[in-house]
Amino acid sequence: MISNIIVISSIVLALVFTIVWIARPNLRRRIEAPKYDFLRQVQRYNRQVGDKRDDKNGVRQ
Amino acid sequence: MTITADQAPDNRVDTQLVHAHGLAALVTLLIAVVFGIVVALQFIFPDITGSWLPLGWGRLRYAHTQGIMLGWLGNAFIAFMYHAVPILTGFPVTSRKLGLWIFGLWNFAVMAPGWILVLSGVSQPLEWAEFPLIIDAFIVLALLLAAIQFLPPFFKRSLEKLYVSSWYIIGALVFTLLAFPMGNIVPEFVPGAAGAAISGLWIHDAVGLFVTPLALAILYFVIPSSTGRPIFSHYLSMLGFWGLFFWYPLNGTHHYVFSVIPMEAQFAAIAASALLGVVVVIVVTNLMLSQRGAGVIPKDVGLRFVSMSVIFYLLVSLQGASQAQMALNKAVHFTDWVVAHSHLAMLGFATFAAIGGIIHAWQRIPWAPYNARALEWSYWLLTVGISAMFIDLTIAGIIQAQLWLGGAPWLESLQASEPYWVIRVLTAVPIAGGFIMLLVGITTGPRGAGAMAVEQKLIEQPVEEITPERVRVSEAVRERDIRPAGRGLVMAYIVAFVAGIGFFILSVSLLGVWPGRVLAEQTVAMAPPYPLTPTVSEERGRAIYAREGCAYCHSQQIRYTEADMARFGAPTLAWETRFDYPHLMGTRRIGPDLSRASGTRTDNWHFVHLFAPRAVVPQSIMPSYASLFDGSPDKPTQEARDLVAYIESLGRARELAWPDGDEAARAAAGDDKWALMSLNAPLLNAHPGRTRPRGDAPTLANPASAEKGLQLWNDNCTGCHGPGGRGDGPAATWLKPAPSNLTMREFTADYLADVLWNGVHNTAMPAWRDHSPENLAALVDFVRGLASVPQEPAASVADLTLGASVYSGHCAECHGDSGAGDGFAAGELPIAPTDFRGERPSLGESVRVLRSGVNGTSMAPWTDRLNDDEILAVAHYIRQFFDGQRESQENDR
Repeated sequence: MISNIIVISSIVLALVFTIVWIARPNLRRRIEAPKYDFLRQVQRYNRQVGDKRDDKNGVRQ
Repeated sequence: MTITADQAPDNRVDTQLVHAHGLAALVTLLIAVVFGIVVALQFIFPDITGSWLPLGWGRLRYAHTQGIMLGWLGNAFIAFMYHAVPILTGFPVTSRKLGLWIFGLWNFAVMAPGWILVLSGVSQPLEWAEFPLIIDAFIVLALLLAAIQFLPPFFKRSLEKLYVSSWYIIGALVFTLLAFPMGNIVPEFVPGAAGAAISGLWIHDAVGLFVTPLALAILYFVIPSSTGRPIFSHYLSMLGFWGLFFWYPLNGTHHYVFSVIPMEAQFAAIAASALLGVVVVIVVTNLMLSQRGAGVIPKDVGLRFVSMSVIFYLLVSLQGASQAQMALNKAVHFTDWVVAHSHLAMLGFATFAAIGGIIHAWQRIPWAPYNARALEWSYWLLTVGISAMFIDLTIAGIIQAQLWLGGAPWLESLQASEPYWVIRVLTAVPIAGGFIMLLVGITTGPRGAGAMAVEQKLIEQPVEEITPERVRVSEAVRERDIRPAGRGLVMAYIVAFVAGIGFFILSVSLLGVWPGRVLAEQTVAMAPPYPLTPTVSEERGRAIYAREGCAYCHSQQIRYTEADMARFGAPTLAWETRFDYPHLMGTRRIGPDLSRASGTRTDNWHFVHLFAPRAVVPQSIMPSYASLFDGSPDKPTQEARDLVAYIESLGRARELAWPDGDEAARAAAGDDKWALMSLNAPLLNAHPGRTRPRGDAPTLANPASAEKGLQLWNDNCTGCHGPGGRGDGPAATWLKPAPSNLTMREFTADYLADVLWNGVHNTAMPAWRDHSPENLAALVDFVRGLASVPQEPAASVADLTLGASVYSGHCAECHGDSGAGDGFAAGELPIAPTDFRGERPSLGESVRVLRSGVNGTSMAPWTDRLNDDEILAVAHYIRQFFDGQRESQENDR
């Protein structure tokens, strides 16, 4: 009984995610946005590391 | 694209806190690994730490796992969060002062005192929760402070903005704070199997809600940072995030498949385990595609560790999903297969991720020493060592499973495992070497060398093309993101938190609370009407049993499988565990299960076995508990007496309830097929060593080889009877009655077969029913061959007449008129009198026994009632009862 609920709810969740993915291209783009944003943040930080190698108290732009 | 100064986030990383937690992680790791190595060595050299209890196997095992999870991974994850959170959010963590408090709490209020207490014997016998309650309180406080330290920066940004690593960090901090008290504190107050259901949740939540999210946060962070490319799909990563937080907590009960916990809960956990495997494939596919172009063995050593972590994650998850399935679980549960699995999870997947995270952060501390060459060595040593350990223990597990399912004697599985345990110790060399090189790598070398490598890589790295569409989307999100937090943002967080907490509550309700209620109802319905409560001594013994980690080897539950029923007896019912606060249901079986130990061995045997295990069981790998004695097994301290009292109580309540109590329980069970499986078990206690009344031994035809007989003798008998069979083995001086001197006795084959099959009740001589008839026949042949009884002088008629008279007057009441040991008083004696039809002592041995008696039996010295002539006469007389001559005549015919 419980295992059936788990399996059925899993299938429903998977379907919902898939339908949203297919039906909402805008949402698809927005969901992907954080990875680009993160990449910019982390690359900026990485560049700061090079700039501030002698800063003993941390890195700050 | 550039960011204007007013939009520029404050991404200051407190590198000193990263550094402090990173070093603390490495130091605690090395200590925990030393504990682990000593534990592994004790499998081969059980006495390597003597019998000093603070270095006993159980305590070190507790300290090892808590050290790895809390000391090493805990510190490493905190170090990583100090690096990652400001970068992910653009805001610093809450407070440096708070950071110092967290560092102090974690290392000096949790790890150091936790280890000291556990090694001093103050602990909880709960897997992954061994630190005692007082330490748990500090852990909860530290987790709370960590949440205050790391969560607020995330709440300053919109939910839509959060990168997947942020989700995992938030999830880990929130859900560990929920799951930790549930798994570490609640089982102290919920008895037996119901407590185990809660404990099982924590075993998986520790991995699924604490370790895995933070490890995945590292993987998703380090890969794009090192490759300079975004991850393959943020959508898939979020699918993985919600999938993991939904299914991981529902896995817990798969640690107790085939246990008394309601099967419905077990099926749910098994289904969730399979589904989790599917989610992990999605996660790993995404992570692997995110590394495209980085090469199979990336140049960046931090990324290299992360890359290997992804592979280990795939392996361990698929293994976990498959071993939860009943067909495989039936075979491999309790074996080293599971130990391989847990090491692959914690030392493979999580440790490689944590190292990757630490190295990544270290490379970005401009003032930190960095030794790239040492880190390269660390990678290769650890990869080789952990892979070899995993393969080795997996094979050992398969072999153990095969032997257990086939019903082989327990010691055979120990003997078969020994080469693999030796290899495991050898794998400690590269593993420990790898960790030492890791420490060398982050504490030696030029300062800022890591940062130079990062700078160099930025020059070499191709810049990821950001298409106009990506910029537009990102800008749109950013605009929303820098808006002040409004009702929509608050609502979004509430929805996400309610969903996440809802998953957690669902798992606790389905797999913790509901099974607990079912088990409570079963206990009320099936328990005997007059419960046999433990005595004070048994309670104290239970505490010692828990303190020394005995349940971690002896499993303390008989599962609902044919193999367990055949070897140990009726599976454990819920009511049998109702006085266990906390529960002791283990997940490993190195020694045999003791759930039905009551009435199986004598107290004398237990004392000798605890004092010097290999004296009575030559092949045993159990550590000595000689510290519980005042120098000798016959001088047990109160603790030893309490421990033996507890062992002797295991299964007694069910024994006393059987069969009438089980009859009532059967009526209450209705059509519950699992309960009926236990109630209808052919034997309540199927322990092969348990003594039984004589007479049902199988016919021992076709003996195995003489070499087999010798091997069986050496492996099983020499501890008591001595190598030559003179009754002078290492245990002999402590056993009462002393083991027989087999060289001074002749036996009939049938009699020996009977003794081997049924044992000798109330003595240290157990039954050996787990051996095949062929092997027992070989052993019988060997034992009969030990006899070196001299050619005795023929008795005169006068001697026989006198002997008959003495025997009739003094001996027959116990030994019976025909010498069969069935005199009218025999039934009242704790140890059955010798049956002279099957056993014929030499004349000299008989005279010695008549003069000295047999200490520990009802056979007293007779010198005060019989003179030398009478003693000699009766010694002659009893020889005529022996069936051996008849047997040899029949064989001749």
